[in-house]
Amino acid sequence: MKIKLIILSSILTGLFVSAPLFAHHNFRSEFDINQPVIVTGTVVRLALTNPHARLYIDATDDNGEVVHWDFELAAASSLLRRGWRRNTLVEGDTVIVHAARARNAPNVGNVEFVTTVNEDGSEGFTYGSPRE
Amino acid sequence: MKRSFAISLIITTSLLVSMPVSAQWPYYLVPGTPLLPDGTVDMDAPAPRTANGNVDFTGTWNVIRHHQGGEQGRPVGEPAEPPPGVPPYATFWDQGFGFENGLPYQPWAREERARRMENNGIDNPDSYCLPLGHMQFHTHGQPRDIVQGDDRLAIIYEASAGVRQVFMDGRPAPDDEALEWWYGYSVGHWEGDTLVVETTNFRGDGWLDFNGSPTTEQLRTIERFNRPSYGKLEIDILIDDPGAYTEPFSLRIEQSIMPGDNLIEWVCENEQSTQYFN
Repeated sequence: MKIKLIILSSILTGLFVSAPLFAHHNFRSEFDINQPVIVTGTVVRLALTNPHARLYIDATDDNGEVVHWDFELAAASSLLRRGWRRNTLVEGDTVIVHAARARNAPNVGNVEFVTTVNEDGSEGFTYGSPRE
Repeated sequence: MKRSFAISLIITTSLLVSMPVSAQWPYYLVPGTPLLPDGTVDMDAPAPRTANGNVDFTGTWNVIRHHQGGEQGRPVGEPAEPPPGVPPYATFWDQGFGFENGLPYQPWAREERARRMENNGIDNPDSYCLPLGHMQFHTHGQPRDIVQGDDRLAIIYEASAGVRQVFMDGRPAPDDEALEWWYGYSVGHWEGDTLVVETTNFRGDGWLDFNGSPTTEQLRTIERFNRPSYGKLEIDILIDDPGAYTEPFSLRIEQSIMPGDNLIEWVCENEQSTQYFN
């Protein structure tokens, strides 16, 4: 079952993430694609705003301290056309965020895709966010 | 059996997820949309016309990209070859991409573009919720609506909620002493089925592309709008700006109708990201 989910998740990721890309500002000015980061945490808030949506999550670091992460997503209208809705991610959801770190700010990143985690710990759906 | 079920699930899911974007967003097909016998939209149907017989450009349009896209959609690889007689294809990132030697910059303009690229576009107006230039609006990945009347036409861009108006009632453009505008001042007239739009009175600090090819207050553009079929819009634009370029040049923009789609509100809130710019 886990393998099926991984396959399904991969296909979904591929389809969403391969959507046409376009730009708002220069990704390179803020984020370093060579500094990928994967953060598992709890959703605090999804803000579907323009020019970029934001996803705030709390994660626990190696010392057991709660770390507040601030992630940039694509524009709200871009996400809506790709199937996102206001309640796609709600407070308390556990998610795995794949992102690129900001160049000059800790705990900030630009999302490539987000995978939800089911109550049983298995991975749920994956939502892509085009780099703008 | 389980395996075949899993495969079926994957295929079904793939099909569902890869359905047109319009299927995910509330879909409303306006009355009069040409349909094929199977009920799908006939993109090759003749262009619609207004009551007075002009080609009607009204609709929601999505840019067609001809080049291979790299990071953030930057054009990479070899430029796509346009048909004979058609100018190089415009790109959002680099309007010189389709030219063998790039754009014919004046020396200062070449230096300014290099500076803007070196700074990662930090002073791109769009980064601060200010309007994009026409070429960026024309080639932006977010759609635009054209609303056409007999004496004027409006182009509403989802990106940055931009709005252009084109006057087609014969009025002249204002003189050089009038204000300079982000969108310039556009007047249009018909040459057969082609809408020809001349725009002047631009601000002097424009960006022709994401890389920051500059424009000055001497910029004058002439756009030729054609709708060869229901589904396709072609715009050939002449860029004439002796302040920044040694000679005029032309670019081709192509867009595809988005049946059933519409613009989504796009209010640019305070750009929360610029605090992290390097």
